[in-house]
Amino acid sequence: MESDKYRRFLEKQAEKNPVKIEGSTDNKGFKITWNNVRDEPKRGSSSDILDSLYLGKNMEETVIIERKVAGLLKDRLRGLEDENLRLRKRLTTLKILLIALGTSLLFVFILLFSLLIPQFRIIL
Amino acid sequence: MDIRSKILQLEKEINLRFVGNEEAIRMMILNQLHPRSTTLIRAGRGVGKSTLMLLLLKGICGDDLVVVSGASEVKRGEVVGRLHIPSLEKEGIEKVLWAAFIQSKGKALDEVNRLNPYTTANIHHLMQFGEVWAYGKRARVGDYVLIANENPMDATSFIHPPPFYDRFDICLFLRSLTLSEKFQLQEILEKYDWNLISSMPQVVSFDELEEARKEVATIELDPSVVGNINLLVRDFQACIRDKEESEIKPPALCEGCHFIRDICGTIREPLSERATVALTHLAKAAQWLNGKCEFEDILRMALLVFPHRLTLVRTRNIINDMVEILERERVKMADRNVRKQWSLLNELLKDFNRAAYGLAREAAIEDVVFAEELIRLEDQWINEGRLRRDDTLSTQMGWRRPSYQGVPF
Repeated sequence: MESDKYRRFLEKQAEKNPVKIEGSTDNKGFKITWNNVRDEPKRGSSSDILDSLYLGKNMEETVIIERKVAGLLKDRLRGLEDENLRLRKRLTTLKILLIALGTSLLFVFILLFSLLIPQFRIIL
Repeated sequence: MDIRSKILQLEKEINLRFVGNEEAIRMMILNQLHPRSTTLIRAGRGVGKSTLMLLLLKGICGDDLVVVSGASEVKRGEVVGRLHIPSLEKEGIEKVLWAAFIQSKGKALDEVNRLNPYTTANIHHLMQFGEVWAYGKRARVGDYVLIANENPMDATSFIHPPPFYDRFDICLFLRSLTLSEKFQLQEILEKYDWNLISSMPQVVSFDELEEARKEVATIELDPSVVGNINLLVRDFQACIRDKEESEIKPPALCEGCHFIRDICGTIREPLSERATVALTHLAKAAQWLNGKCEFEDILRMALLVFPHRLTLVRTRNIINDMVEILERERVKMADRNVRKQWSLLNELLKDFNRAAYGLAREAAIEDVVFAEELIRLEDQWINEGRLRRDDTLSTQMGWRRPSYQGVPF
């Protein structure tokens, strides 16, 4: 049971940013158009890059993006870079741990080997 | 002069006596336009917390105001009421004499951080239920204006629980004066004979304020405004790993989460629903007083409604941190419009549509609040046999609504 105000909010948002759905309701022969009623994006506006990101369309030779979209992408890039740095740090820590573990295992192996074969101890 | 003009006049009179912090004063005025309003002022020593508190209370209540000082109340516990000894001795009846603080319309709490736990509990109960208890007797408290102040840097006597602070509608942060503002203050002090509080006239009577409060309550907000308020608060609450119920909190909880870079990852203890109520009250007041309430206004209001209600994962400067998060929120809202996700949801609410669902799924991967709504619809479509459980976003991403044996709770 949806709240009436919730439905009105969605309808209002749909009025501002309409999508037009044409054709049958199954997968085939279906078309969704993203119509902008108030500010139709000009050719070469940020719609190019967003369409390529969300709809997999090819971009024009030159792509111009709006400030807010650039801000969004910048924020995401920064987030990904931070995540990348964090993961690299973790990777370095894990590498050090792995080397330490390998060295310890080698010592244990040599120790066991020397216990089993006394001659090996003499060699050492 | 009509009530609206009187409210604006009140703001003007305060601005004549208080230098700077105009935005804080405007929000403080807006916050008085709903019943049982509560305001908290946080600032360092000598910045003007008590002055601002008293200026507003004098402007509304005149002399019908009582100040309880936290510093002195450490010793006494009679803020609510005391026993009438002669009645007890002569007639054996426990009669309670309710304190002036309870009876007055204007209630001021100076240095609330120093209030003893007994007094705090009583005031907490007053703000929650509009009543007070003393010696087993109850007294209903009518409409009022309550303003408190505290210095968070002060060595406090008692640490109050977060639910107590949650009862304050807004929290104002005052800043110290710049060089030019200090000159302004000296001129003002000389103009009012070094007594700002005594010079403050009562601009609005409490009856007029109650009338204004009734008018504001009847204001119907635009669905977009209501939607933006709910979205904003939800963004500060939502967690795909259910942090509200989890014993593990962010950042540990966010390890490996798809939404690790989102706003939800910066919030340790989320907002309560009182934040929605406070924002709605302020939006209605702004609509009534200014004739409009835009998304930008809501963001500015959020800066005063959110900070005392949540805990961030890392706090350096709460106001700067909140400004940063709210700026990200602005980008997030624009992103939602660009993806047209609410339009898609609107279509999906009318009827299931596989192509629209495909696009909605892509949007859901970018937005935890939208994902919650889509997952809820997925459950409905599975029950109707329109979608297989294996094909859903919730199954493929491992996101589930809290439920037991298929029944959500």
